[in-house]
Amino acid sequence: MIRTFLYSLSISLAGLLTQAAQAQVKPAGDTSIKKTAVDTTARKPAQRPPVTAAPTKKAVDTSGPRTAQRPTAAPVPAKKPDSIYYVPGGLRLGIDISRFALHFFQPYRTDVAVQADVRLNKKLYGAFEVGYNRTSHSDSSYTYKGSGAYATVGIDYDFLKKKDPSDKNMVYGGIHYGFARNTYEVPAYNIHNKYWDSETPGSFPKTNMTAHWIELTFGMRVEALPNFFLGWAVREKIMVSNNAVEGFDPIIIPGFGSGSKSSQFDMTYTVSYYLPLYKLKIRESREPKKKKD
Amino acid sequence: MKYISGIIAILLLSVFAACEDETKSCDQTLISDLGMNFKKDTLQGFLVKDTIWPKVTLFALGKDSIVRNVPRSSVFMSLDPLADSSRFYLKLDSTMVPDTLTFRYKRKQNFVSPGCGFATFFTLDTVITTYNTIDSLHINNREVNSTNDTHISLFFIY
Repeated sequence: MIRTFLYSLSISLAGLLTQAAQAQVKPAGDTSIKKTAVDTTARKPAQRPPVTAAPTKKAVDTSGPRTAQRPTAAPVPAKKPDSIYYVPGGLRLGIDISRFALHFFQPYRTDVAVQADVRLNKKLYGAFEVGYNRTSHSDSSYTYKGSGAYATVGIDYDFLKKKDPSDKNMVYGGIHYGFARNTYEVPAYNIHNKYWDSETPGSFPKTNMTAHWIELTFGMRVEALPNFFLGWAVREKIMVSNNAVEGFDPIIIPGFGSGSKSSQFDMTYTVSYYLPLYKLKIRESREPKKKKD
Repeated sequence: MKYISGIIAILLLSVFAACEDETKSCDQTLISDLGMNFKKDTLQGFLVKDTIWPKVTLFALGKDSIVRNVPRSSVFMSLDPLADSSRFYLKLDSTMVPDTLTFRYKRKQNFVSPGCGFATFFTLDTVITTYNTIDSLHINNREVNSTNDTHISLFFIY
């Protein structure tokens, strides 16, 4: 119970820290696009795109008063040029510290997981994870040894509406594909039958297995310090296939969890560092969205 | 914001469930025991009901009793994990003539769960019985594994 309490406390503290960090980051929105976009419609068309690299020569056409866009005689309004601006892109590399806490609850397993994500466009991120698991258990009836590695790859979609396009915080949902390879064995087991007063000793040879699964994830990453992120995520993993020997599922499938279950819930807490490597060119239409009739 | 505490509670419960130490608990109450229930057959099979015998005695030949003179509508017995057949003595009432049941089977060691470890599973080949009190028997399930099934039904006419 104390372990459980400590773990829940650490998660709650982490949540509070995350919220506090987000509160620190948000006020930096003086250079927001929205605000500058409003400014540009007033008088100075040359200043309109705030962080844009787009040519400004045609900007004058679009900044006119609204009444000018609705001429009674001209049926085709002039098309506004797309808004182009750059957002920072890079590699966010982190370690999942919840795997160490997991060892506290399930002492037979030792896990290490490294996560990474790269920005692909304004909303999409490519997400990767690699990890290693070692499982070792011994009691009066059997001894188990297993080890293996896993990798997941997928896409995260950022739901956060950002005032500042350079904001790197995320509230995301994603879908990942996972693959694991595991080797496991039971060097010795003993089946004791009380009624027949018999012992049946045996062993299970070293066996390789692979597993494939899909995981649905939801979480957030917040820049607590410059380029230093804290993030948590919940994941539901759904087994697609595994070729474990019939009659002997592994205790743990690396990256997935319990070897006897077809789906597994999981929670991660990641500390990561952002390496700014490139800038992404974002092009957005400035045409008003069509209203539904 | 008003849902935050509820969401956090659900998340924590889910985390606790996911963090459970599976090696600590064995949730199978009966591991690879053979289950057998008693049925009273009236109207030549048109009306079959579960029945309770008042003084059931059951043991493997040469071994201690599993139950002795207790009222039962079903019994569970462990097959011999070191042999391919087991013989059991079954007496249903003090006034009834006892029967002998012989089970022939194949054995295989299986991993049940991290908490339970390994167990011997059986596949029934044949079941032979005397018909002193037993009228007939039916094999419902030949696989004797960690599921809590009733593998055999014994039918009586009285």
